[in-house]
Amino acid sequence: MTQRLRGAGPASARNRGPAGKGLSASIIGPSRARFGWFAAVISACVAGTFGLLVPPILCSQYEVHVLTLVCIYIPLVLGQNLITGNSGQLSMGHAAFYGFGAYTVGILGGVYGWPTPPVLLAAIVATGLLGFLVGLPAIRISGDYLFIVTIGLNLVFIDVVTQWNSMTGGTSGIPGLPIPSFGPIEVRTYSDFYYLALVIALLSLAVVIAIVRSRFGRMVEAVRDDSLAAAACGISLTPVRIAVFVVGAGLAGLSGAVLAYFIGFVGPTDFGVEQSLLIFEMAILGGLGSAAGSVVGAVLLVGVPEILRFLQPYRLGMVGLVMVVLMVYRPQGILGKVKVTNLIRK
Amino acid sequence: MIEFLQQLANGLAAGSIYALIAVGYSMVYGVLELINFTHGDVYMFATFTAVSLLWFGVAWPLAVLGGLLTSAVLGLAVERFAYRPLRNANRIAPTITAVGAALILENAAQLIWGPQTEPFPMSIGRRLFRIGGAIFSELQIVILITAAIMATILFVIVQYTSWGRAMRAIRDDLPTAELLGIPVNRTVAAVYAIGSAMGMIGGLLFSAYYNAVYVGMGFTGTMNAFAAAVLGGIGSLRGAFAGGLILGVTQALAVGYIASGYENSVAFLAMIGILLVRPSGLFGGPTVSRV
Repeated sequence: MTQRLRGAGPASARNRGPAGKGLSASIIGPSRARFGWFAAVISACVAGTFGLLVPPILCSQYEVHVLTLVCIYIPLVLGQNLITGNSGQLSMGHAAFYGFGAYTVGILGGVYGWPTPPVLLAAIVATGLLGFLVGLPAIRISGDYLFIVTIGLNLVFIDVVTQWNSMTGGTSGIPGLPIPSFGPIEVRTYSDFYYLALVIALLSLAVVIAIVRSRFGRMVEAVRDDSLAAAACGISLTPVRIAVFVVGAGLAGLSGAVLAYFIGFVGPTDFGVEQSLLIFEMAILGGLGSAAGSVVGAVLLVGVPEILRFLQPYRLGMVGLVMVVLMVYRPQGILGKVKVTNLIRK
Repeated sequence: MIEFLQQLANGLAAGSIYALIAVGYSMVYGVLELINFTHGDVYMFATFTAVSLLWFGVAWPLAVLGGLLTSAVLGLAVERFAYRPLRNANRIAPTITAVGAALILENAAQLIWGPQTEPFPMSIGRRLFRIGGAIFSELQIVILITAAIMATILFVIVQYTSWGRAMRAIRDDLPTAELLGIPVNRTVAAVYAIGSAMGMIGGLLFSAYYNAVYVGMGFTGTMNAFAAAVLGGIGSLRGAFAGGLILGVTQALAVGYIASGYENSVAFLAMIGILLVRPSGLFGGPTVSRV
């Protein structure tokens, strides 16, 4: 709508081409191109796995710590990208889901002493339920209005965990969480946590790619591309939109659970609107609607600030500069498609 | 009843500040529909500049003028380097450049003024007035009057000047406005400058009211302004003003009647309630029908 004359030619051509084809292709089945891309990702994963196993042996403890954080962010960004990229819904309350997962660990694992596997499961399921509740307003509210509603829900979450002292420990949080263990295997050292986070990140990536390629994933994209046509094809829009929130929230809950075990503490400071903004930026910078892009976004926005640490007093500004430059040169994100980002409306 | 009036008075004062910040936000937001995450940091930087001028003993009208100029220049710079290169791109990309520009401004402010919270260097508003049962401080009255004056000036500019007509034309239909010979780049740049200056007035009143100037004040302000602008309806200036007042009053009433610490929750839940009934805001156009 705000296209200027100069850009009208190529932009309208872009809009016309894939939009028509996209819907039909997404209903009928995966195109060859999509399969080729998927195979490339899988083979890159397999090849990369050997590389990914190495860091704890070769790297310093600090570098392993940073890599673990990257892995913790990956499911989060995958979830955000599913909601905003694949489903086209502007949501900026992802830190609330992240925090909800972490607090599930704090309360069930820390206070009630549940063993790790059921706690992880509970974190996913409980956060998924929260995602269902947050998805409900999205039936009626969309675009920037949904954006602000989800920011509001994030603020409500922070208020609740800060004020509900008896349950959440208020501002001082819940310290001293147990060491996670899966049967005989205990996750103790930095490299143990790295492997745990890595496995969870890869599993989430596989799950998300499977979802995107499934019939459901194509329904999600069809609803985003043209809700009227999708409804005419017999897709009921509301369940699809809400289901995306449930899956995205569940992934974030899992991330939060791993984070809580990793730092051994849950407090309200890690889950504010700033954190939501960071996750949102990761998805956009990596590329909306691209699972591989989510990974790139997490690597960039966790990695770049760490790499620039030597610039200390100017670090924040330099991160900002990198973001401006990257976005000016690739407005659709590193791995994003123009078609997808053009569809996000107000 | 007196208690209620008192909370209402406090809410109106805080709400007027939000309203000024939100109107500045909404100008930019309304014209190009960009989610402008830099607004808060622009007025934070400009407020710091004005406060520094006060520290150096500059008379307050000059200090305010200095702050206004800073905000206008920063607004222009952000528009030129972070938004204009992306005007033909999708509408999500500029949110990232906005955050990038905000980080640069925050970093610069931190280097110049440090991370600590500074008190506001002027003491105004010691005297108290009793109006209709509620007690207003002098500062609250100054805030209410400033907000009213600024809103009127802006209304006149937007409704009755040729620049205002150009701005509304661009908001309604950018390509047509450009075809008709409206200087789009110049008008949009001016929108950023004026919007940032409005924000700066709000920021200055904010730091005077809470007696605090700090680097983080921009982010909270942006969020509240964004919320107010959306609540009022995207692109509606009177909507943004009303949204700001509603936000301030609900927060004050929440502190008075429910519990302090939950004021953000109550204000946002009220907002969600309003949006559920009116999904395109209080003064927004009719909703495009959805399936």
